[in-house]
Amino acid sequence: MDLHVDAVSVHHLTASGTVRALDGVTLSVPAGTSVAVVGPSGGGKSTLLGLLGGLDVPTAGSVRVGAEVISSFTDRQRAAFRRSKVGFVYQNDNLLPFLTVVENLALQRALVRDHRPGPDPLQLLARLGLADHADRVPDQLSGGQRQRVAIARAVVPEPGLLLADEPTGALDPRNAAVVVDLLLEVRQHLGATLVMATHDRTAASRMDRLVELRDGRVDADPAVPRAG
Amino acid sequence: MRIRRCPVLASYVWRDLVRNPRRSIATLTGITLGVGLFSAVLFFIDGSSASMTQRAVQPLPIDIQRMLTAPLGGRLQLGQSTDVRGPVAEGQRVTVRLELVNGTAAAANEVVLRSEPPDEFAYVAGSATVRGVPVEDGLVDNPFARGAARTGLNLGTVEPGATVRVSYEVQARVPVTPADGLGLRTSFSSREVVTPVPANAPEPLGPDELATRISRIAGVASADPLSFVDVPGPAVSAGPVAATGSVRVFAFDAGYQRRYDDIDLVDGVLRPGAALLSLEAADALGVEVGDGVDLALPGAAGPLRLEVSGTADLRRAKALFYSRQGRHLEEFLYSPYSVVIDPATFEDSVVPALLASSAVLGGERNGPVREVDIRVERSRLDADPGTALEQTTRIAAAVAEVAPGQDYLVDNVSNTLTVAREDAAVAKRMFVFLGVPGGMLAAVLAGYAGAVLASAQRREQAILRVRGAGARHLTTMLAIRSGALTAAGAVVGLAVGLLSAVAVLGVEAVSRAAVPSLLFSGLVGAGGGFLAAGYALYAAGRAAIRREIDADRARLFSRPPLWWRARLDLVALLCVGLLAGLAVRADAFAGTPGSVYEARGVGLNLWLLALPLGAWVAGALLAGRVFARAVAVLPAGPSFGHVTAGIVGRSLRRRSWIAAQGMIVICLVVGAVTSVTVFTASYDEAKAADARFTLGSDLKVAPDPTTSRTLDGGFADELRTVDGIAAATPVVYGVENSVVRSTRNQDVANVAAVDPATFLDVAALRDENFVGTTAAEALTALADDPGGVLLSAEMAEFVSVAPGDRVRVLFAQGTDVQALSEMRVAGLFDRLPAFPDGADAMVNIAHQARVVPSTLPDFFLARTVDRRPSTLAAAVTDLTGRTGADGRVAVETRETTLAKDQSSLAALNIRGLLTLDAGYGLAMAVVAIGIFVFGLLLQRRREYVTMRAQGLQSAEIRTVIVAEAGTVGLAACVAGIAVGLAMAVFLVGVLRPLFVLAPDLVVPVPGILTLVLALLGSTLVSSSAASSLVGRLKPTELLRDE
Repeated sequence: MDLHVDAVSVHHLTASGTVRALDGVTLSVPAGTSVAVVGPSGGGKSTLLGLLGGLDVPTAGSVRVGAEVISSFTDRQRAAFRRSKVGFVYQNDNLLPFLTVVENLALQRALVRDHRPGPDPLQLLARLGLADHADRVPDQLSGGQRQRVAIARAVVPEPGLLLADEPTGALDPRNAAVVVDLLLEVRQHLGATLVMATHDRTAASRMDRLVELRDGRVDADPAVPRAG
Repeated sequence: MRIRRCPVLASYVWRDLVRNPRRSIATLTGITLGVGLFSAVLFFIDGSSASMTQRAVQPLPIDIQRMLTAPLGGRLQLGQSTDVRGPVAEGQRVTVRLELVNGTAAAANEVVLRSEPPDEFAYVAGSATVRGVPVEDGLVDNPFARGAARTGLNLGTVEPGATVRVSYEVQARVPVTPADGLGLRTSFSSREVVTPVPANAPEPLGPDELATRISRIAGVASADPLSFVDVPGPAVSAGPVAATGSVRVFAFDAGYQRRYDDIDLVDGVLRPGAALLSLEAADALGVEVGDGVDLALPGAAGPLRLEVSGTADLRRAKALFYSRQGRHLEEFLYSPYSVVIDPATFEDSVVPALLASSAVLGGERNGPVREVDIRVERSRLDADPGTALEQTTRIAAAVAEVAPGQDYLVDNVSNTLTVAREDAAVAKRMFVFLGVPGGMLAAVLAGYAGAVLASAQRREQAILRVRGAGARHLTTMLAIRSGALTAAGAVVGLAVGLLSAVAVLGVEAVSRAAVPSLLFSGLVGAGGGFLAAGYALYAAGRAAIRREIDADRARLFSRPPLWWRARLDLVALLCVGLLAGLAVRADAFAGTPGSVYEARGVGLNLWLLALPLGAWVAGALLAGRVFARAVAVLPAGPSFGHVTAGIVGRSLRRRSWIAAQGMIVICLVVGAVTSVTVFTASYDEAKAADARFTLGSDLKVAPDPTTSRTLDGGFADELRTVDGIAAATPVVYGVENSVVRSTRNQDVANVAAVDPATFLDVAALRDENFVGTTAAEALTALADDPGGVLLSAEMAEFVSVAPGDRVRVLFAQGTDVQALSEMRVAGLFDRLPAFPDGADAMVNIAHQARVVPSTLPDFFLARTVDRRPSTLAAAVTDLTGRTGADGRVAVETRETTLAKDQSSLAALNIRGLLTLDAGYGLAMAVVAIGIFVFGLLLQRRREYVTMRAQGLQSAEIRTVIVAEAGTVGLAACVAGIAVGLAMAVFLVGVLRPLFVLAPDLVVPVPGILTLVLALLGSTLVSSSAASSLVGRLKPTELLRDE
């Protein structure tokens, strides 16, 4: 899925005044590309990912994902968009704590209501080396294991867009490398577009492209050399 | 923790409270309601107590009466003398002489003489003589002070004018220099003079002097002499016109008339030397003010000529017409023809005539009643009946000390306050017990809110820990937060409690309470609430601080709470079962019914209140266990099925303890409200049934006591034509109107004569009132065998008869028409409706009419066509409209009987207390649901936002929240209703002595349905509000944060 962000601004009203989370950002990402969004905290990375995933709506401008201008969607349309076309991965796994590992995946599968064939949750877990942990609840897993389950959950709907917000932020370098590998592998397998917000320069360097956001604006959009 | 850091921490806590208003308000509301209910109950007790004394004494016409035992002057006098003239040597004998003189115009019966020497002297055996005849004393004991009880010698009857001389000797054990009278303890009493009168008592005072001295006693508002005598008619006439029937001649002054304001002066004045006539007398004689009347007195040479100075309506003058007989003090015995004269005229003209009459053999023996009627200063009586009783007892003792020995004292006000004190004490204890659930709910709600709050604050606490806060910092902040919330809740709760007590009792009642009492209640309510709720809030938060977050989360899924592991619910249930079994075996639920006649308050076994409380707690915990077990088997696994159902099922299954915790709290509230609702309905129904039973049916119609009208049996037919009346039946009844004799024993009896067929149709009979038979069978037996008699089981036991045995009944005993009848015992009963004094026997009215032809019904019972109040009101209107002033009838209804009952101390207060409990309970149920739902939101907002990110629609998330909260709420409703019903069964059992009839458990479906709907509605509203809040959360921030 290609992404087109056109002159997007997101303003929040707070007690201390208006905060410009994004201020006139324009960005285009071709389908199947992996993009690292970097920049200091508060620069607007998560907000941009929220817009791309249909969690937020812009104050101004438009967001198009594939053929759909999601910035003009209703709540219901955005929910339908998220459940079948977007996979989210966060620094915090955000797995539902009262569901077992396999149920977390099964819920996402159940949410995809178009009955298209998709990966079987148990097979997916087996591929991630988590088959033995299928019936455990997230609190019984390590941080790295939980993050892998979170990626598996994001993959279940076979989305065209993978959004990862600081996915390695809480992991040690080895587990962080595993997670980035996994994300890139999944991206390649699905042919999806991957947008990853990160402070991790190593992880960023493995993306096709790097976008730097500072104070809500695109500070630079340098092409990055592929790692290795 | 350094003290100087406290302001910083306090500042942080303050900002936390202000910036999280929903959390703060939810907690605050819970505490406020709990403290509010507890305080309201305490204020309610104050307000109720404040009016208890006034309410108890208000119906009393006369507070204290001193009744002269020798109303015509003179009295029994006991003189005592010895032959001692100086010091008494050891072994010296002294002769004691006693002289009893009956200076009255009547014989003194059962005169008992007591005389006992002091310890320094011993009775000389065989020395006693009475009327010169030696007394058989067994040569050992003093016959005038025999045995340990110091029983005196019965001299028998002492005729008027007779003198009885008694003597005995005592011997000095040691040398004695005696004071006057040798220190002998000598007194006498008689059937007429119950209080022992000491020897050489001073001369009796006249009523005027007695009243004057009594009126000087502190606390006495007034003391007025009153005399009256019933003179057989025709005694009053005006020229050729005479009033038929007896005349009651009263003597009191204008002060008495002013003080007892139910003596309604219609025309003229009460003037010395003149007469005030009752309206009926003036009417019958056709006289007006200024005319003259003649009063014919027995023993007088000629009629007493009096000018009519006024007329008065005396039909409500309780002070004048209440019976002076001990057993029937509240019986209004009206005499339509009354003449009031001044005390001097009574003394100068009436007393001499009565004396002259009584001196003649066969003359008039109906002596006058002479008394001093005393009013205490009621406004100075303490609001608390117990303290007021101490005041009136002191006043009565002071009154009795004025010129003792010439009268006896009837202390109506102290008797009434004795009952009121017991009622008030029971009521207070009961109210505190009934208020306990409120206090417990306050702590439970605070604890629950605290647990929810602590759970929601885990993340904030973790951040604070990361930033360097230690456990002591967190604990201090928790203490400040708990203190601030509970202090605010206690203050607001106190105000709410006071306002609700005012709303239920009225401003006047609460303002009558003593300020120190209100302050104390406020202190206990707010202080108790502050400590209980504060501790619960603090304890829940402290436990959360001590636990590591992961351990805490793990606990939610694996480790059951302590009560589950210790099986406290089952243990408590077992205890309740055992206690209930013991109570049933010991017949503890029977209690003791109250009785004004016996100066006894309602006796409740208050320890039994542990049963409803135990059933409440144990039932709620058990319900939580069952609920947790039930949701633990909900389906789970990779096959997800319906999305929202799958989420809700798994959430409940894996977090069953959280759901069970909420369910238990709501169940406790619902249980409390249900029990109160059911008890209220049962109470109302039972009191209405009691009222109908006490009255006998829907209406009781009797001749007006202020008229001379009589009603014959045909009046029943007239009653049947009244609008709304379906059937009526005549009843002949009187207290001690008959004697029942068997071959072994006899007793005076209250016998009722009824028409069996119509009585069965009309009276509020119950099968359980009869022994071994039904009401229909018993009444049919009476109809089939007119010579049959139904006896009370008590009477049957006393006279040793059983059904089928023969007894003899003396009808109209003590009257000129008394007649004996041989009868057969047709059956036994425990109690019957319509006879509050307790009927001992019931016979066929046709039989009584044959035996005593002059029998007339004393009253009629009537049944309305239905139980609607409007039907009853219509019947009363029609009935009173048909009878003119000449044909007045006294109509009582089940509603007026109920109103009388509800004005008693305990009844009124219980009703108000139940209103408070129900109102607060409903509010607490709504708040508990709110805390549960918003607690879920606080704990799970990240989950809900994750679900949104995963693609769940807002409606689906709302469904998840509503379904989970609804499941918990519905389960809590079902369990709470069951627990509440069990509580109500115990409550009705414990409070059984408040009712005449065994109360039935009444389940008010609309009331309970209202509670369920309020709870489910509250669930829906709060869940919708919560899901709306979820929609407003910023997902990107929540999902990103750790």
